[in-house]
Amino acid sequence: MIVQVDNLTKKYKKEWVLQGVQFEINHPQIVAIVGPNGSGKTTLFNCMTNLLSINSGTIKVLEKDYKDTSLFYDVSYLQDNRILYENLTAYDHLQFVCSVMKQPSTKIVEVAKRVGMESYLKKPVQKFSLGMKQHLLLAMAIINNPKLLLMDEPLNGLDPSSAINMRKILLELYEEGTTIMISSHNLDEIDRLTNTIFFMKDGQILEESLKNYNMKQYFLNVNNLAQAKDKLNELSVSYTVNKDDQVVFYDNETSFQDVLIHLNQNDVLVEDIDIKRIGAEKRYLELFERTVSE
Amino acid sequence: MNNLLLFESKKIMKTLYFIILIIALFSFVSFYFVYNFVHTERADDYIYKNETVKSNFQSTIEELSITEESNAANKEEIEFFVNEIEELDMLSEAAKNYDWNTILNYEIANGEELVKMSPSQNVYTWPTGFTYEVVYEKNKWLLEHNIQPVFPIHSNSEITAYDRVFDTAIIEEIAYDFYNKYDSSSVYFLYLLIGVGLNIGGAIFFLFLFGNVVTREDIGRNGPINFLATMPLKSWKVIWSKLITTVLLTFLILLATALWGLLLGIIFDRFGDWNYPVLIYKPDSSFRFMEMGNFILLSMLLFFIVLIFCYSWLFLYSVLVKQTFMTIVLTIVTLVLGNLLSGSDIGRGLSFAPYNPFNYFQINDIITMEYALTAENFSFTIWNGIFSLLISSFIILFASYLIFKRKAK
Amino acid sequence: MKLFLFELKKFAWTKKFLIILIALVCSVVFLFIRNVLFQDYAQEQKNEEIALFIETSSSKDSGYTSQLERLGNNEEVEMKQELNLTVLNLARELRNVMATEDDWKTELTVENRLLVAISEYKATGEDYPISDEDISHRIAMNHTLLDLEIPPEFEHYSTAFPNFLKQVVDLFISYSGLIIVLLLIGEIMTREFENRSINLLFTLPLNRTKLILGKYFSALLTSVFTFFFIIAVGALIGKLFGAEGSFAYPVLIEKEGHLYYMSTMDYLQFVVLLFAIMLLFVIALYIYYSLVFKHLLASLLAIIATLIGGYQLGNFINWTPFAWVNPFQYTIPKEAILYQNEHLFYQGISVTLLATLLLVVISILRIKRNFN
Repeated sequence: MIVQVDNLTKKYKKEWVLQGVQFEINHPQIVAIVGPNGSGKTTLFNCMTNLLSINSGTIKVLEKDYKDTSLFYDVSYLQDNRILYENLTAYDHLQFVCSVMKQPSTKIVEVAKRVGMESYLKKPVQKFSLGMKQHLLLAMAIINNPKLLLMDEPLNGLDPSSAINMRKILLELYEEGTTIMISSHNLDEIDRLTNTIFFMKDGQILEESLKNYNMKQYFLNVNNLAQAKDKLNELSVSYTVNKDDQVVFYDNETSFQDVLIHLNQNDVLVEDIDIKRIGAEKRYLELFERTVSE
Repeated sequence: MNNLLLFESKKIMKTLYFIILIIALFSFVSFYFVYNFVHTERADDYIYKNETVKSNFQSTIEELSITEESNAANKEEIEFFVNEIEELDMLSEAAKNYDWNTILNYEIANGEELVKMSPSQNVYTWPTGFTYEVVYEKNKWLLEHNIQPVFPIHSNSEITAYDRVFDTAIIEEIAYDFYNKYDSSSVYFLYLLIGVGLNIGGAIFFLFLFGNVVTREDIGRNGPINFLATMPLKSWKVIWSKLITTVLLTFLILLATALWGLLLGIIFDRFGDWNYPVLIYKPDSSFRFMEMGNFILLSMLLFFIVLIFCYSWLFLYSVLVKQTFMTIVLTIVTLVLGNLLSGSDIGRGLSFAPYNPFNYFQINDIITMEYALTAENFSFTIWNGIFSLLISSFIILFASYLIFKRKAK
Repeated sequence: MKLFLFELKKFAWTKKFLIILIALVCSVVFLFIRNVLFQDYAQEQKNEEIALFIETSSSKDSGYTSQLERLGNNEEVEMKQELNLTVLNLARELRNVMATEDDWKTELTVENRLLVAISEYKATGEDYPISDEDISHRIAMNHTLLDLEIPPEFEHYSTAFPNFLKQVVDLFISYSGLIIVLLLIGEIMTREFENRSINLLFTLPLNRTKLILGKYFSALLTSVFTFFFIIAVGALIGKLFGAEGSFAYPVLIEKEGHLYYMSTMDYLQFVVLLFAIMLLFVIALYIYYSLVFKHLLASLLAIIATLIGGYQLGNFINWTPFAWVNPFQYTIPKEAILYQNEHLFYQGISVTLLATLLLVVISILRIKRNFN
């Protein structure tokens, strides 16, 4: 068991921020937490790390009581960049974390390279950009090879190549057996990382997994649109045509293979295919449509 | 713990603000040294002063002996002045040869006469009999220990707590002119530095220096404290490391300042005399002397403990209001008000007053026991002070820790 | 105007401001209660002083007697003994007058006679536990009171309305007024820098001149309000619970070494006037420092150091025209009025106002230059 949260509630100034959060993570995986602003994502992380006291419920992390500070040898929490000391350098931060975590100091340069921040290791944080701070926070979080990594909006301010690098690092950590809980608003990026998503709304987790809701969206460029439409109607596939004259359909209704074969057999040439995983986004819209439109 | 201490001291020292304040401190010490250096009465100044007096005497003699008649009429007076001039010449000659013993012997002989007249001497008005006695004994001590005196050392060169009345403002000014001695030898300079620096003002400087050591963590506002709280560290360690770092840095700063003062003295003047006498009051109009070196060490010890007491308030307010500005303001208001209330006649008259830590901010007066004398209570000793300061600091710090544990969530 | 209201709201509409006001009310009430409770103590102190005089004089008297026994007839000693006896008798008379609760006029008259006798005795070169300066101050004060027919009040423990109000003004305006100002406006500028919220203001279509002026006037208004509030509370408490007293009660001032008196009313007006001028200046200086240092503690330390340093410089420099050019002489307005030696209290007004204007202009230029 890695994380077990049972009926967790948290009241903040007369307002219930968490009302009965319940979930369990039993094997290493990447879990995304998604929800609108104010849905309680950060509060959940803060409660799990004992930064906030809870009103009721139980939290168990790595088989231990979550209040035990020795847990943090194996648990890292990437927080808001307000936790950084403006007057200290990145190196100062890493050196401190390294020594507290009882890691060899060679790790500092190693992790800086891995994150891609060797060039500004000795600069004070006040001169950092948003993305640079995010790099430092990531480096601080992974220096101890954690078993559980909590990440609150880690993608804030990252440029595309940094984001790609971060994804790479997270997937590597996952391969090495780290469980990652990540909260983010970047649904595209989440789709690339995982299909286990906790949707949070009004302090509750609505859904644990998208395994049964894993959808792909296909965009086909065909040489003969009219004929393709006919053939697809034959197969009774529900599809749409977008403004680029692409045929768009989802894969859970008819298998993608069937569609391709059927079109091919009927002399419709598929010139280009674009596949997009839209699970998170589609489900998000369904869940929060009302919230959004309100 | 080590890594935390190192990290905390980095957090404090790696700020421009801290560096500037330290530079300001050292510049202040240096300027004060220059001031003392310039104002030190050296052999030349001593001789010059004698010459001025001499020429005054000479013109008086001339006036008195303007005619044969007046010369005869004022014979006694003229003789007196001639005598005085001879003595001044003798003293100047001695100063020229750095022969302090002759000067001391002369002043001791002078003082002896004054002390003998004791019963008819002033009890309230400067210079009192007590003051004469202090000067006399002090000069004897200087002679016995073979110490180079810090001028002036004549009979009117002291003001003691018994000198309660100065008749006019001009007399008061003159008295202080004699009393304020300057010397740039290391030991005496440190002694003077203690007089100007080790008081509530000095304590406030240190409060400004370390004012945001706790509040910089932004407790309760998702600040850096959340970073420390998600490290494998016990919460008591976090607050303790802050206190220890502050105290250690304070100690180092005090030490470095003292060393800097010593160094300035040694380089530009001389080391001075560890045994130089400092007046300590005893009950019933008696007194004794303490070696200046020991006096300096005791002062620094007491000041150090006073600072710990100040820091304990700082920590308490830091965890209570969690905001730098109000923390500093409340700490200073508490200390100043505590001082004013405790230092008033009524405050000092209370039965537990010697155990009230706020009474121990006037380092100099506590160690010389002047505070005890004016409060008419000789329980105001440095050791009672250290005891009450430490006990109350401990209680306040413990309270801060409990609040910190509760509020950090 | 919008900006001004926004600024005002930022620090007048806070819990902190409310707490400061409550604390001030409590302090004023505390002061009044203290004065009421300490009436006996003040009387006791006066009695003790007379007891000391009586003790001193009687021991001196026996000293002279034994001296005369030793020396035989000695004119000088006999004269001293006589003068001392006069003092002793007057001190005893004063004690009796005070004990029998006679009217205050007799008391003051006897006290003055005693003081004159003491000063005559001291003129022979003898020691007595009161200084010549104290004697002349007290004689002057008592004379004035007798002339004006105002009964005396204890200087530090009065419950009479005008005297209490004067004490409130001395304490909360003269001595701690500037500290209260710093307390109120401490974070006015630096917080914007430390929180980066200055960037919000800078990215709004606001004129930066107005930004500084908005800050300045809202700080000023808050301070002015606070001090009016203090005075109002002091007046209310004094009026409701205190004795009536008289606003003509004399305040002794020293001008070129001579003693004069002014009425409490005039004194209060002058102190408030000088403080108001100092307020204009200090707020401008603090805003300027905040702009330069952008750091709370540094700005605070700098302004405290500047005020103390400037004030000390004024005491240190004996050059008479310096009072025309030193903007720091009203740091403690009370002192500027009480001791007008080699300078008159109004001399610094123009330079202080000029310096204020200059600082505001420099601040505006700085904020424009720095960020445009």
